[in-house]
Amino acid sequence: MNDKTTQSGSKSQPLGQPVDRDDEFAANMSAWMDGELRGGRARLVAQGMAADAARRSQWGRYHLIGDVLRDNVPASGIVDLSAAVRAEIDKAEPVVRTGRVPFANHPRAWGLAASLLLASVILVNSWQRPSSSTAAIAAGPDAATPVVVATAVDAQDDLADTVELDQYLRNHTLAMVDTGEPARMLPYLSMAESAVEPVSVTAP
Amino acid sequence: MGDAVAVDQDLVRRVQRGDKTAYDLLVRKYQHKVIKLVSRYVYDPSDAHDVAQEAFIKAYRALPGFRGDSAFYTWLYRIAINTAKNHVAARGRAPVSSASEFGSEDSEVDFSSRLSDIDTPEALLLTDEVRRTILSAIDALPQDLRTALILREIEGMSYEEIAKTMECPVGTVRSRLFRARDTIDAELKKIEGLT
Repeated sequence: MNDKTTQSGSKSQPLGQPVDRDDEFAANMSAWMDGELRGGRARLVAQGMAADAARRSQWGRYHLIGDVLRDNVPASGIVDLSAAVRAEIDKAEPVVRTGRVPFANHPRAWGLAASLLLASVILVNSWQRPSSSTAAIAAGPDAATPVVVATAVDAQDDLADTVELDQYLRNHTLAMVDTGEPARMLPYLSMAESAVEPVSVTAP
Repeated sequence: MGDAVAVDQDLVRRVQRGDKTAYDLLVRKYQHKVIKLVSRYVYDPSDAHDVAQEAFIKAYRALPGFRGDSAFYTWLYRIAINTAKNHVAARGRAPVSSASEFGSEDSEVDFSSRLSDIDTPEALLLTDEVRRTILSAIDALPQDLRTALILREIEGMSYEEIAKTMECPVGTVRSRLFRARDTIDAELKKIEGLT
């Protein structure tokens, strides 16, 4: 038998002789057409065939062997439609599929992002600096559920109220921590601290 | 069976990215199967070739919309059938067999004898020569190469299944299949007029 030794499950070659690159490629092509070659080597085969008409013909003959064995050859005879099909499709524009445009590259993306940013700034500002007609949220001294307290004072009073409210929340939450209650308000306190300096105000 | 469908998907993705040579590979792979399929509807061999070619061109143009929900050949099969039916309708003739539309693509109905009297002598000569060359080359193969090739091409076994059947490593199966194809291909290349 004209057996060639197998190396790494790939191309076979007689011992001591250099690997025939064409044969190695053909061996990989043979495995690829059977769906038994993956990853980088499969990509190399596909790229190699794109660049070499002789290898594409060889691919066609390899498939012809299978067609004859499975009796898939038409009674009208063996032909090669590839050249005629290629000539026709060359006349037309390439059929490149329009892939999804990444969101960041979409023309409307920046507009949407800017709108969201603007909305966020407005929301944060209105939360940090309540106007005279803004409703401040406080927690009732005897309930875990916050209650809404409406205020109608001038800006200076607003600031004092906010500081007082923050201190109240701090005291209330620390008391809850001391009694083993979950410190659910701590995150809000941290946010409040970053906005205003706390002052010592007695809780109501 | 090896994941041959994945190879088609890979080729389709390449075509969708604008690689026309990848479509060339799909045409070479399926052209005989498609011509044979179309021949069930279209009497004239020359027309059958034209219809098959048209089906491939239609498929190419429709490829941007192909999402891979079905196998490429299943999709191509539908296009080829529709193209053949449209051709028959345009000619105002009845199809060869409306039953074949509902049957398997590998229907056992043999149309060879019906078509043989209208085939061109040159095409038949080449076909016969190719068939004889391939079958003779297979007969001349060493037993282990021939068995590996038959298990792969006729039984559709994966390399792993062939390795188990032949009690050898998968790498050996891979090598045997390549050597079998390479040996037959060397004989095919000697045939004038075959690309």
